[in-house]
Order: sequence, then structure tokens, then C-alpha cells
Amino acid sequence: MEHYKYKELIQLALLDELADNELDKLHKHLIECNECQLEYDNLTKFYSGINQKKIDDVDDDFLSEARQQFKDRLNFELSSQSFIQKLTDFSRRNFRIHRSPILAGAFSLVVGISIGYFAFSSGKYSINNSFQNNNEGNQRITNVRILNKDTSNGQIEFSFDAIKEITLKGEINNPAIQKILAEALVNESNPGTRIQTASLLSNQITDNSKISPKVKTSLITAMKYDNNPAVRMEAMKALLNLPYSNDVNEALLFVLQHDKNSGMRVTAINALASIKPVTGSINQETIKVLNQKAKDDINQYVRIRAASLLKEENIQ
Amino acid sequence: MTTEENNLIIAAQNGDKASFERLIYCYDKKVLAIAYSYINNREDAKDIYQEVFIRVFKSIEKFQFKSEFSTWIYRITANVCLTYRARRKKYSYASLDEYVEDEDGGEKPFSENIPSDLNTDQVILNSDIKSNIDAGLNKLSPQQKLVFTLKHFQELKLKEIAAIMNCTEGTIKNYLFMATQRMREHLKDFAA
Repeated sequence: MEHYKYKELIQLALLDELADNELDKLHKHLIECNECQLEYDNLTKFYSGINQKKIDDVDDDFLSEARQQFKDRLNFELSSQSFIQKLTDFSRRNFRIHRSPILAGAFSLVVGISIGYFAFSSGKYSINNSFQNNNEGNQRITNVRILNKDTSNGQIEFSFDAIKEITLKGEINNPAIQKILAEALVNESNPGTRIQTASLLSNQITDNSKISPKVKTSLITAMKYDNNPAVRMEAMKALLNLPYSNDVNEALLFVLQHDKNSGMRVTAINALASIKPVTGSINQETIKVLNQKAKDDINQYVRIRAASLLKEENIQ
Repeated sequence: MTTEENNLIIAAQNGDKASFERLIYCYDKKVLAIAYSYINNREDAKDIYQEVFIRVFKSIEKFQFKSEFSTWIYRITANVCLTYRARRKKYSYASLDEYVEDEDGGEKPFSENIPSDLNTDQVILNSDIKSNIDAGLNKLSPQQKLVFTLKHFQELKLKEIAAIMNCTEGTIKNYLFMATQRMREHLKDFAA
């Protein structure tokens, strides 16, 4: 055997990778060959030097950091999966394991029926089927949640949010339209939409309108608490179109007392002056608030107007 | 492969995230150690770790129990290591012209700090040789570097390395012989 072959055997011997018979052969050669013996010694030193580079065990902190970063990445990967990916993964995982064409068929059928139902049906949230000219658009499916991973009985259960665009057309007296507008007024996140909704209501509501309590409550809530003054103002205008009621009166007093926008307070006090209770006299709570406002409101008009109202009532 | 491990794999294949985590925690320390010994940087090692287990997660359903699960994971680790491009160049190469402090407190070029009567193998016994070893490893091909790393720093058998790298043992031996030869040559430069 040539020297270079022995040199390879030396490496393998030092790495504990040599079979016994080859190891014997090598030892015999080393006794006879000074060159290979020198190589053996040098390589031994080389390996002992290399071993100094040997990295210590991975410490716990290092491992914890790696695990945490991986968890974050995994969550990100999972959250960024599309609905179709989730559905595909779910079906592939389950039907790959069970390898059942019956289950696969059942799954396809359920998915197909679901998609067909939501694509072509009038939707679970039935507003009012008697509406004319309602035009239902496509819907968006989000937030799919697999409810039961056990598919052994051939059943698949999941829930999801189906968002569907619906166009409505009708009169303000229609309860369904009022319901949607009332929801939009207090729950819509876009202030522009809330302003438009309040404005729509203030333009449409008249003394004769049949307004549901829900709409009235939403208008009062918007007037008192909406953080956009334009929404509050439009809501107030809408309320002022309604016949006098104690709850509207109380809400106006609330605005007069608490609204930081002087325009709102001015409108509120003018409204209190213009709407009169059926009895013709203002109540004690109103008198109390007007007294206070006549003394300390920072807006001069509000102070003067409050005083004049009290004078009209012969109270001051 | 134990029954418990089998069950964990099947549960993970069915999308059970908790089982997946339990499963990978049996092997992730070794994966991180391989990555760190190969890349020699903690941040890059964590990147490799992440990439390995994301690949494991995405492809676990394809695992068909034809090999040990550990071998499958380490094979993915090897693939990620071989294709990994470090974020930053962070290996510091010692310059022979760089002035370093000598034993008397003075300064002289690094090259003059190496005693001329030492041969290559004695030079690497110096305690500050680690950076030179890193520099030498970075001159190897990715395959040579990985084989050298797995053999010397992770102490795997050639047979195991062959399984991980999906090569014959003969190929692994060739990588190792070449790597050893080049490392010795590289370290010889520092003694010249």
C-alpha cells in the first residue's frame, strides 16, 4: 500500500473510524515507516489543536432565544396563511393520513356546498326579503376556525366570518334601514361614515317619522359621546327634528354641561330654548343647569342665553 | 424511533402544534449546536435554527418514516447550512502585519509572535489560534466545511454524516481528507 493510503488510514484511525483489521495493518506499517510515524505525530497535534476550537454546549439562554424567535416566526407564518391555504392544508393533512377517498369526497362536498351556499344564497343575515332592488355583491370569507379536527366520522366542522356587501334602498321609516343606520352611527369606525349617517338621519327625520327607539338611543349616544364634533352636531340636529321628549331634553342638558365645544353648547342652549315641554314650563334640573351656566360658562353667549332663558321663566 | 416519538410525529402531521413543539424540542439543541459550530455566529445560528424548523413544520406531513426522524431533521439542517448566506461578514481574519502585544508588554507584528521553530501542528496548539481555524474553515467549500464541522466539533460518525448529507461514506471521507489537507495548509501559512 502506498504512503498516501496510509496517511488516509492515519486520519481515520485518529478519528476512531478505522476497522480493527486496518488498524492492525497501520500499526505494523508505523513501526517500519518513519515518514508515516511523523505524519501520525503531526496529525495528532493538529487534531488536538483543532479540538480547542470545539464549541461548548449550547447554553440555555441561547437555546431559549432561538426557540422564542422560532415561535414568533411560526406564528407569523401561520397568521399569514390565506383561507385557501388553511383549507388546503387541513384537507391534505387529514386525508393524507386516512387516505380515504370517501372522506375526501365528503370533504369536497361539504366545502362545495358551503361555497355554493354563501356565494349564491341571500345570506344568513337576512335583512328584509321584501326590499326591492336589493343588490347582493360578493362576500369575503375570513377568520376560518377549524372546530373539530377529528374527521374519523366523516364530518368536518368549522366556522368563519362571511362578509358580504349588500345594497339597500328604502324609506327612512323602514325598520331594517333604521337598524343599519343606528348601528353605523355608533359602531362605524370611520368618522366620515358616521357624519354621513347622522346627516342622513337629520335630513330625513321629521315630526311624522316613525323612528325606532334604537335610532333615537343611537342619536343620543352619538350626540353625547362621539369624539367627532361634526357627528355630535348632526346627531343633535336629527334629534331636534323629533317631537319633544324628556330623554332628548336630558341629553341636551348633558351637552350644555359637559361638551367642551362651545358651538355644541350654543346649539344645545338654543335647542333648549326652542323646544318646549308640553306643560310649557321647564323642569328643576334644567333650571339648575341654566343657573350654573349663566354664572360660569366660559362662552359669553351661553352665559347670556342661559340668563335670558331663566328671565323668561321669571326665575332669576 | 420510539412509540411516543411516532405518536408525536403523527399528531404533528395532523396539525397539532403542541406535539410539533414537543417533538422538535428533542432535537433542537443539537440543531442549534450544528448551526453554531458551522457558522460561528449566534445570530446566524438562530437564523439557521428558525429556517430549519420552519422547513420541518412545512414538510413534516411528507415524512414517511423511511429514516430516523433525527436523521431527517439533521439532513434539513445540513441543507440549510450549505445554502445559508451569512447576514454579515463577521469573521475577523488576523493579519500577519497586525501589531499585537508581545509577552514583554511591547508590540510587534503578529507574524513575529509565531516562533519560527514551530512546525504547523505545533502552531495550532497556541491558545489564540481559534480565529485562525475559523478563517481556515471559511476557505473551505461549504460541503468540506460542514463535514469537517460535523466530524470534529459535533463528533458524528462518518456513517451518520453520510446519512445526513445524503452521500456515500466514500464521498464524506473525500470531503474530510480535502478539508484536513486545506486546513493544514492554511494554518501552515500562519507559521511561515
